Amino acid sequence: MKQLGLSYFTDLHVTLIGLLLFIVVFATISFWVLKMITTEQVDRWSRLPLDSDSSSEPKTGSHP
Amino acid sequence: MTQSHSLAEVYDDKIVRSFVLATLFWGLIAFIVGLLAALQLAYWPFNFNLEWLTYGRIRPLHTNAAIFAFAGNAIFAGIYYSTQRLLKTRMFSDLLSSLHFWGWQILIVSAAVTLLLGFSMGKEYAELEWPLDIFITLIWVIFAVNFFGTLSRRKEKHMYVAIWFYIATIITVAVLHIVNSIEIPVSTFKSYPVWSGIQDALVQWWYGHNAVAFFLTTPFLGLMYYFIPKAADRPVYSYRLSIIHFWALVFLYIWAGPHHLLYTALPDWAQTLGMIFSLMLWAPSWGGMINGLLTLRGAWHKVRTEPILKFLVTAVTFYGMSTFEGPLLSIKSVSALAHYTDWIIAHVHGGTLGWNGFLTFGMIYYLVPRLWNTQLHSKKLAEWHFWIGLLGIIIYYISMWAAGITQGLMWRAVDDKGKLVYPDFIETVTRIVPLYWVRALGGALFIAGFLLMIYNIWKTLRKAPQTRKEEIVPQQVPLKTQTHPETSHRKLEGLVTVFTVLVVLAVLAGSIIEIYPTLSLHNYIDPLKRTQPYSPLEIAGRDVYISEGCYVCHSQMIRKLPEDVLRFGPASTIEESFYDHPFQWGSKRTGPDLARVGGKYPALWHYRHMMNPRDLIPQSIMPNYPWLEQKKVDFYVLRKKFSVLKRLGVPYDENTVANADKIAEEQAKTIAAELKNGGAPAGLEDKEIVALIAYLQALGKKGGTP
Ligand code: HEC
Repeated sequence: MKQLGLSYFTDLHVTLIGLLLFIVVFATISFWVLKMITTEQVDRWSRLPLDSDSSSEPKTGSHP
Repeated sequence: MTQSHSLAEVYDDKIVRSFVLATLFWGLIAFIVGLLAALQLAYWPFNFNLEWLTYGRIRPLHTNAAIFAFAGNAIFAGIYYSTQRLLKTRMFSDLLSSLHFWGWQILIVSAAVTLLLGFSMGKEYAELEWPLDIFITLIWVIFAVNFFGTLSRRKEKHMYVAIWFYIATIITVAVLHIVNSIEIPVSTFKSYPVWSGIQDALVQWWYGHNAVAFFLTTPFLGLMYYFIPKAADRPVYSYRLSIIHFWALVFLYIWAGPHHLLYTALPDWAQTLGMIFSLMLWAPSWGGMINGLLTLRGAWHKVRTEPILKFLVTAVTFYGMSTFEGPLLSIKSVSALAHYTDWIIAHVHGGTLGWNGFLTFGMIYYLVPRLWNTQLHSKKLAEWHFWIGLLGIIIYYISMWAAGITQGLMWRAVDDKGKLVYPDFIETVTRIVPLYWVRALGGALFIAGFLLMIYNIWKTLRKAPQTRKEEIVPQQVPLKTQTHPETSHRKLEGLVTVFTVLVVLAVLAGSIIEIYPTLSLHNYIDPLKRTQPYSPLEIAGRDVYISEGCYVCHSQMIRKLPEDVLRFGPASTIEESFYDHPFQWGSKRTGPDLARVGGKYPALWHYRHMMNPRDLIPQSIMPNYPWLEQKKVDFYVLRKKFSVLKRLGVPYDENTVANADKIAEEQAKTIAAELKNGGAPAGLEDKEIVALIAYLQALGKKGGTP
């Protein structure tokens, strides 16, 4: 009896809450990503690593 | 922090340079120790019969060094470099940066020394004992304060997606480390985890899997999102996709831990949950890989001529392969074959050598010329490094894949009469020993490539100008809210806080749901009727087992699979390991499962086997343990150990705690007398070997079986 309880006991509600949470998070993020942010924003953001580029023309100064 | 703003502010690249050099140094150590471990499995005398070079001690050293020393320093180098540039500000505090750097190096050295001396928690990738656990926490907090401080003084409002990955790393690693390391000290270098048995297993693999996720994946993805666009001189393929990649990954990863425990005594619902979430991980992982690779659209010709891009692109490809294989291995029927075998070792090295290693190499080749204002000494050598290293990984990978599948199939082979075709475990070992040699060759090639890199970088540094010019932080930053410095500051911090809270929630959701149910497990178990806790001498022996790292070769968990039950006896139950602080289920069977080894052989057999396994099993690859016959058991400390264990809920009575040493001495005398009668030397009653034998003989004999 206890053995059975052990191997099958389920806290199903917790699992369901988890899945529900995931769906909500995923839907919200997707909505935000696809609808709320503009192409200009995305373009600017995706260029952030390139902005600060110093490899072509190093801006240099001496270490204080 | 102390930077004067009237002078041109420059980025702190000194700290990046330090971390880069540390990466190279510790990388070499981690790889060489790995090679030594590989050689020992092919030919055991490579441990030179030295206590502190045996496999059980250097394997934890290898894994910890590869993860925390090599990958750790690499991550910090990349994070310090990219964060400053993405946020257009110098790091928050030079002092914290250097405390972080030196603290981490001291930690690595102390870890190496203590692991070799045999101080171990017995939990994979979390072997370090409690003083070091506290030290890790301290250093991590320093890093976090420095990082979040930098975020709050940033001059770019948007946090580029790489930064998100860094935040997730810092937060989650802290949570994982603290929860998995809750332990009660017994002495300076000995403690017992508060978790036991199945709970400990779940917490450990929640930690273990997410150490892979949040130490070897998220930070490296952050680096990928920064360094690939840099090296290819193109923005990331889809920034939108990267946002989805991030959230899906952070949310899903944390659930996947139980896939390390398929078919074990873990309740089925938890196994299924782990498997489903592991399968779901396929999607975001591949989303990320595709995003990384497509960043090179229109620039593929550069990959042919640029070793940096070669390394980065191959790394991302390995990321894709590993994250394909991972979910595959989480499918129960695949796990049934692969678990405990070298297939897992193949999988892990595809990830570490291919993804973490090559991404790090690409990054370092990119960084070094920029950090030292010079040019790479030889592109050609870097090319050679790439090809030799790649060949090494492929040889490694294929040999371990073949070894794993061969051994897995041999373990489960059953004839028409329902008998095992290979009942002697050693047969399944000798069959794959040639592949251990091939693996060692693969590792050696990987190291050869790495040595070329070290030479190349050394030459590059020698060419570097004496006076370095540091890169200036751009000043003309158009922060919208800059008119009100006060509010702008608050707003920036507000954003970070909201974001951090969201990450914490995402991570905690899975963690709590996974771990919470096991907290109520004691309701289902009637302790006294079921499992007898270990006697004092057996606990002393168990601590020898942990300290020698026997768990890196032996499991103590017979799965609910016909082939396991046929070979080792009835499947292990939750009750049997219920009082095990820490659990010792293991993850690899280089040797046979030991869950029911108690009573299988007489004490004398174990004595002779531990002194030299080849006396009994000529082809054995298990190390000799002659020092166990010399080293004395500390009987007195058993009282302290027992009072800690009792506090942790193991049902010992007052008398056992108060007289633990005397009870142990009595039991030791009996075993020593038995050994002496069989022809073993006299005077073993206070030696570690006797305690270990007592423990081995108790395995599977304490009740709790169905
Ligand atoms: C390098 C891997 C390795 C390590 C480390 C290792 N073993 Fe083994 N062990 C083996 C192999 C392989 C066998 C099978 C061949 C043999 O019996 O020697 C084995 C067999 C055994 C057996 C016999 C099991 C049986 O059912 O026949 C025992 C008991 C054992 N080991 C105990 C230990 C203990 C205790 C430690 C730690 C002090 C340890 N081993 C460390 C590889 C290892």
